[in-house]
Amino acid sequence: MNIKHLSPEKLNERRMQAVKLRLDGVTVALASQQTGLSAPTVSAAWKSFREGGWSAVPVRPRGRLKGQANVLDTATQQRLWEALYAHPPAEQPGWSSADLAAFLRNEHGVELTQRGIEHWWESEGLKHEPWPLSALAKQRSQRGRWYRQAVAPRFDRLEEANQRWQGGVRRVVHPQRPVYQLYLHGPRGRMWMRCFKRPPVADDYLTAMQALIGKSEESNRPVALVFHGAWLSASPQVTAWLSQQTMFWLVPVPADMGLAS
Amino acid sequence: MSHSSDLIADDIEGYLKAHEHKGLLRFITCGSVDDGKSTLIGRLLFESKLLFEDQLAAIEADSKKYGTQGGEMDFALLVDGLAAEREQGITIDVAYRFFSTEKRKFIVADTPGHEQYTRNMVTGASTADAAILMVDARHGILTQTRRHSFLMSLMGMRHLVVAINKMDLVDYSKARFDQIVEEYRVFAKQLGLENITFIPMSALKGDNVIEHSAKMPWYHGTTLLGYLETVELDAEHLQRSPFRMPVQWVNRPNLDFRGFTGMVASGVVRPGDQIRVQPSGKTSTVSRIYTLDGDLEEAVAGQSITLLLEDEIDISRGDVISGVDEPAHTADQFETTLVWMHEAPLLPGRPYLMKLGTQTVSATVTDIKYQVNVNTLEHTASKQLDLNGIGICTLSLNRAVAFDAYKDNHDTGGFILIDRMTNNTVGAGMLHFALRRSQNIHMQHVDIDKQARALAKGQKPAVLWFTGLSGAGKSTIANLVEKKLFAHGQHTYLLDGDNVRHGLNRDLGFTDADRVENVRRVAETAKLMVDAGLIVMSAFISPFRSERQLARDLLEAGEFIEIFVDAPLDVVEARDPKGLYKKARRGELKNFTGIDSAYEAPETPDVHLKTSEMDAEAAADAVIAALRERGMIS
Amino acid sequence: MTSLTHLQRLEAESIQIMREVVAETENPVMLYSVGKDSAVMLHLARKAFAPSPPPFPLLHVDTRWKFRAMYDFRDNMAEEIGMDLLVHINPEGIEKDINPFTHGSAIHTDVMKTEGLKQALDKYGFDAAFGGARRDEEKSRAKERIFSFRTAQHRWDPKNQRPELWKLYNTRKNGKESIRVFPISNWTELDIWQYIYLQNIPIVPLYYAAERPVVERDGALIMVDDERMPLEPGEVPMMRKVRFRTLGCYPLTGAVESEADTLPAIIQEMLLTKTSERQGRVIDSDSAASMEKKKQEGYF
Repeated sequence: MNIKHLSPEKLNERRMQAVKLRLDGVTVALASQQTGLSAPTVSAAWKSFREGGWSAVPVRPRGRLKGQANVLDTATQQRLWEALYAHPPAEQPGWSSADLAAFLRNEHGVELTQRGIEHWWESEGLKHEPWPLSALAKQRSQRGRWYRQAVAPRFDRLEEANQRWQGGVRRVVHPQRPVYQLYLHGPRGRMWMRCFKRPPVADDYLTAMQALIGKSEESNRPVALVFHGAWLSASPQVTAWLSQQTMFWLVPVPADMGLAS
Repeated sequence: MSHSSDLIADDIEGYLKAHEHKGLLRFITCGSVDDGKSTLIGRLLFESKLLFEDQLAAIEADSKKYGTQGGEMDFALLVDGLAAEREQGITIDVAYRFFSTEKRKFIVADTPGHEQYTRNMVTGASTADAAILMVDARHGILTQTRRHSFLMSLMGMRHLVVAINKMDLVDYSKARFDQIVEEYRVFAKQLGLENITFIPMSALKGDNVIEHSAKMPWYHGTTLLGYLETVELDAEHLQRSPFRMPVQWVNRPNLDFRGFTGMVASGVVRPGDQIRVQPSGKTSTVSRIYTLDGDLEEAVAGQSITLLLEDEIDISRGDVISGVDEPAHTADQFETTLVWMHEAPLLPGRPYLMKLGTQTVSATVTDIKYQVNVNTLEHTASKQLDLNGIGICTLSLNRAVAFDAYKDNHDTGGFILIDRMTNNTVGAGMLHFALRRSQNIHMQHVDIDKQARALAKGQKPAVLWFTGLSGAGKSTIANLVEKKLFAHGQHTYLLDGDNVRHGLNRDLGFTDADRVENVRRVAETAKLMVDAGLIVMSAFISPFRSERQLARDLLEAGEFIEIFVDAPLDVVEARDPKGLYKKARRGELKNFTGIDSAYEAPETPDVHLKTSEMDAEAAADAVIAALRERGMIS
Repeated sequence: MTSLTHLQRLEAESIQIMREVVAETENPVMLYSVGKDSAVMLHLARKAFAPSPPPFPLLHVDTRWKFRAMYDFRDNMAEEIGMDLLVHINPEGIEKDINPFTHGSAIHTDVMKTEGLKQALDKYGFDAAFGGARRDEEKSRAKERIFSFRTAQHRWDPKNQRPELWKLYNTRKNGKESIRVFPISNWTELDIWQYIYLQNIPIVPLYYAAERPVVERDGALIMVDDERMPLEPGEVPMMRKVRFRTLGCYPLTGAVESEADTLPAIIQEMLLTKTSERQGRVIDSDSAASMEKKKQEGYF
């Protein structure tokens, strides 16, 4: 069988199957017969498994990404990563897809749509969906109670969408690089992010929060941020900063609230 | 073969359910690294995926560095590690390794084929249900194969696989395989080995280990793993034997609950069963089998249980509970096979502690019938057993114990011997049958006993046991003591080299074994004299603690008085009244205590005489004073 | 014919060993580390001596640096079973404020665990101590005896250990010698988890994945369990879903990221996982032969 005709999904399925057969004690030859993969492919899949576990078995996506007009070449990807690891544009809490598209166009003359950037985020594991917080208002769960007690009293007093923020920090498992991601969701689900090669420090959080205040400063309205993934009150620096803010409310998501997953 | 990864990933609860019902097989592998033993174990561990990636990565790195397989995965490296152990100065012995398949969990006793092989292999085999004997197809049956086979037959191994390995190096030849099988069968017959399975294999290439080999279509038997997954477990075989449970501990939380705890050694027990307790012979009925999670309907061999009985009979640790119809036997003298496991040799006549099931008694080897050479299987006469020596011996106990022949039940017929002084485990043995003497010769109870004789003499009989280096003054002081006692009207006798060496013990020399026997005879004689009501003085070097302990054990409490005639070696060597030290120093006298044979000084003598600080007269007075103090004389 | 499962066989063996110790030694004790192996060992002890409570106390050699969840669990457990719980902390360690941060893991472990254990055994005159070590934990344990003899100074002499045949254990000691007894020697990590699952044995919640505050130290995830954990300037602990595969002093015990918050999920993760159990123990990385050395010094 010519495996060149297989879709990547089908190919990966068979690679996984071959590894399972090998684990069950089946020889390379037999595994090759049963999966229709060539013997070297079976060996390669087995080797990947031994070196990197199950996640290393599928082949990396080949060719252009789905729904994307332009080929996202290695150099462009590299530039995007460098940007994400660097400071975002002034006054911004992080990089939005619009910011990144502008950056590519202005600095490197590369045309990439916002949707193209967002697809790339998805393929790199950087995409994050905002939590449907308002849906918690009527839930009779621990989460619902938390929303009513901790979030609603803040959010209900804020009229504008750009006063209500949510975000968090997480480690993104990436095959090539260390990624700690600080993400923020603003009005209409728009996402801003920064990436770090180490866990973010107090200054990183404060820069982002300061930018959120900045965004609503012209209207002089308070800002609330529901935040997950960092124990901010353990940092004296953050605590001191927060105590001086009268227009910024931080609402930490308690552990195991189940929002993250 | 392996933990099915699909099931783990998709339905972990289904997987757990399936794996709750696995059995447990323990086996031993015999052979050296050269036979591919480590490769085999490594492959079994690897294939059952009980290896983690950090371990795998280490092996892969090692394979490139030290491996013998051209950079390919060298499974042997998984289990060897012997070099490292040597460097750390650790005694190489039995290592236990674990793997499991969907049918069974396995515990592998892995023993190196060379050094200390007998002790280690016997230890590993004692808990194994089956043995895998590795044979290199190129070399066939070697001395080592015979040695290992003999040890397995000795240990009563019920299932044996002869894995004829490295078939890839003999072109997977059926003729070669058949030839080795034939040769082995002849040999196995001599040993009385049964239930042998032969498997042609290549551990390195994986032929017939887990999967049937395409290279050997002529072989229709089971694969090695197939064998291990189906061979009968000893615990299940033993369920068909009569019920036995050595009592470990009596559980008595309150007056209403008396539970007898122990592990069922064989058979099945249910409430309502009639039982007999050995050695007392008392009978009762099982009322309950208690567990924390509720009573059991039945318990089988291999379970640790708590039994409750209907009658209040006296049962304690060491007793064996049996089914009433086929109870355990009782005896105090046996024919046994002994395997010696310690650097200090077995000396007949020396008392050891014997642990059999949950009973601990004093045991003496009275006779080594012959020793077996593990390589040639020849029988040779022997006066002692050295480390790794195997002998057919007569064993005599200080009281009767409950037992079964080892071939019928390893748990009620296998025992260890413990040195009374060092507390080391020095030997292991198998009981074969009781010797009749013990049952026929009962101690004659006569009306005139020791007490009566002693009363007639108006004294308390005792042994004054003088011990010390040659020339320390034992005989001189003992003589003076006897004179003083005689003058006091006591009935006495002095045993010393002069009146014993030339008669009773003239057949004995000065080897360690002979010294033990010498002291044993003196002690027995002294015991008879004490029985006759005498105060006996014995003046012998008696260098070993264990023999003095033997003498003490022969007598009743308070009858044995150990007197340490203590003079430093340089003092006695300077005195040297008989010129013996000079001879010994010149090498004309062998095994001379203090020079080339050890003297084990008493740790807590009853009387301690430092003769470098007092003269003989004063020393004798000190002994008399000590006797007065004890109320031995008035 | 009744076929016993491997867990029933292992259970029976462990119980036989424990009863042997109680019958033949004078003053036994169970070393209780609050971990999963201790939990199984304790459960087996309850079965061995029921309806009596186990006829020996529990001894926890504390370092003052265990996870808070372990202390809570320990105190509840002892109360529930009705066994005496002895807690020993090396007073010298308190006096000198020995801790893993200023003194390093090696000294901390030596003073608080190794010395602490010796002190406690001497103080109460225990002549036999049950420990929860297993032979599958690492290569050097594979040949460890079930009854392991220690000199009066608590040293382990690898050359002077006794052969163990059949089910016979020689428990006789010389003078001030003591015995470490490992009744779950033949259990593997999988056996332990499977038994915990089947028998519903309570374990410290730290084994289950949950969001916990962690910082990274030399590639290991260390939980910020209390305010004694020093943070770097500007450092903010992250809340990550982690669990622990082994438990010890929190600054020395690495967490793994995990979603496994039920027993089957933990077992599943263990079976599919790629690194062995001991990897989470910072103490191992001190030196290659460290385990062997620790054993000789009397760590176990």
